[in-house]
Formats: sequence, structure tokens, C-alpha cells
Amino acid sequence: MKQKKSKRHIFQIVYTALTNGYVMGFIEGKIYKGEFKKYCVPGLNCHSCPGAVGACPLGSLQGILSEGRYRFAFYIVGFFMLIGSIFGRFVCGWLCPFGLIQDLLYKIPFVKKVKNLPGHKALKWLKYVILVLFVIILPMFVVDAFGIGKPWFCKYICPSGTIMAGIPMILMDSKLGAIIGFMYYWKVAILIILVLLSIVVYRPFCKYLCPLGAIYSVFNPIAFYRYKVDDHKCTKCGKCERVCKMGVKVYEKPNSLECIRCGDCVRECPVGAIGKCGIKGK
Amino acid sequence: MLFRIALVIVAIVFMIIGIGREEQMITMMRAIYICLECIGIG
Repeated sequence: MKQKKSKRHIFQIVYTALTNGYVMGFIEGKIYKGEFKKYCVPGLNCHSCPGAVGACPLGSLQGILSEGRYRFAFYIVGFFMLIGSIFGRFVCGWLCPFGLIQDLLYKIPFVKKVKNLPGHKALKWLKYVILVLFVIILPMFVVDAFGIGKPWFCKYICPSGTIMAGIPMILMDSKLGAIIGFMYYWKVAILIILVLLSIVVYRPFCKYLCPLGAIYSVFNPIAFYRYKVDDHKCTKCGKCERVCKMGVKVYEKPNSLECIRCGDCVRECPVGAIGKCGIKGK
Repeated sequence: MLFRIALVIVAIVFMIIGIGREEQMITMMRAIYICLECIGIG
């Protein structure tokens, strides 16, 4: 099992390195300005990271909605539908750099681990509130005199932006470092809270706050890539539920909105009752 | 299965419409400059 788990982490690391592979950005303290920035990457990957070679889908969505001349973001919504309808939240488990960071933090030993935060059942809906409010409504409707809005989620919440772009850029560019103020410390404080929580609770940002996970979660039950439970084999022993760090009752809801397709339940099922559906739907 | 295929087709059509409206250029223009809001100084 350990070998397969590390395979996922190796995949995550290689993918993160590829999508943040603009080494010159880290050396020169500048960001990549090439053609690939037209295209979004599936995971939460700040495009102001010095190494980022693609655009952040959430940043792009807010960018288009806050632009004023568009009231619907066909390009990004189409992108979400395409990726979501094929992979669902597989993206969270395998392709998200901030998910990888949380995975690694949770591996820190000698700390008592807690499966979920108190109030988990209510808190898990918070990410949908953040999606509607901070990613859609506020960027669209709170605008300046020119009709231009702001990326509210990026500005007030996104910890991926802080760790992948904010901290490196401030460290590398003394001009930026000279103008930091309250908002920077606010975002660093959010990041520190999430880092500390991630050591104790598995992926707290994905469970409770991530609007990108909220978008992909809607596609989880209908995506090509799904899990299925063979009722003839399943003994309802509950082992899948016990090993699931996202708190999913897999034998009841294998395509739960919370499942990030890490595959732990598939590997751990003692009777091999949990399978995967692919493009053929089998 | 048909529903899923229809969803993919609609997604591709949406993306084509978006490219027709040059939405990807806004994506690019946002992404090639440092997002001050993202890094916490905007």
C-alpha cells in the first residue's frame, strides 16, 4: 500500500514541478510571460508564482467576471466542465499543488491526527458559499468607477497565492517587499493557520474552503472517472470509511462530493468491492 | 453515458465560444503580470 501511496505523491510532485517549471522565474524573481499563460492548469496554481507556466483557473474566472464587458465566462466554464466531466475531483487528489503541500504537512509525525474539524457536516458547505460569494458575486458586482471588479478570493483568502507567489516574490523583489502592508500579513496569517491545521487535520483547505474543489465536486457523481461498489462483494465492514481521510462513507456514496479519488479505499477494501469506472463506463 | 458525452461536447462548445470572444486573452493578460491581490499587496 505504501508503495502505491508514494506513487500518487510522486505523480503530484512531478506534475507540480512541470506546471511550475519556469526555473528562470525563481532565479530572476520574475514571472513567465509566454504563450502557455493563455491556458489554465486544472489545479489551484497561482499564476503569479515565479515558476508557473499556466494560468490559475480560479484567478482567470475572477479576472473575466470582474472585467465588466463579460457577464459569463464561457472559456473558463467550458474548461471546468471539460476537466470536471472527465476527472471530477481526481484533480484535487492528484493534480493540485496546494493539495500536495497539505498532503506533505499531514505526514509530519508526532502530532495527534484528527479526521475532521468539529462541525464538519456544516463546515464542508462553506466552500460552496466562498465559491458563490468570493469568486462569482463580489468580483462581478462590486466594481470601481470604470466597472472593473477585484479578484476577491485571491485578494482575501487564497493561501496558494501566498505560499506560491506572495512569499517568493516578496523575498526576491525588494521593491515589492517595501510596500507590504496589512493585506500581506492577513494572507500570511491565513496561510499559517492552514499550515498548522494541515498538520493535524487532513486537507482542511480542500474540505472546507476551496472553491475549485467545490466546482469539481459537482462533477464527481457524473464524471467519466468514478468509483463503484459491487453490492454482491461488499460486506459493509466499514474499512473504506475508516481509511478515508476525507470522511466519506464509500460503501454508501462512492461518488461523494468530498471524494478526491486518492484511492486509499480501493486499495484497502478486503474483498475488492470498490472499482473504478473509466471512459467506457465499466 | 450519452449525458457525459453531451457534457463534454457542451464544454468544448463553451470553450470555442469563449475563444471567439477572446476571453483567453484576458486570461493571458491577467496571468503575465504579477497579480498584486494574489501576493497580498493589492
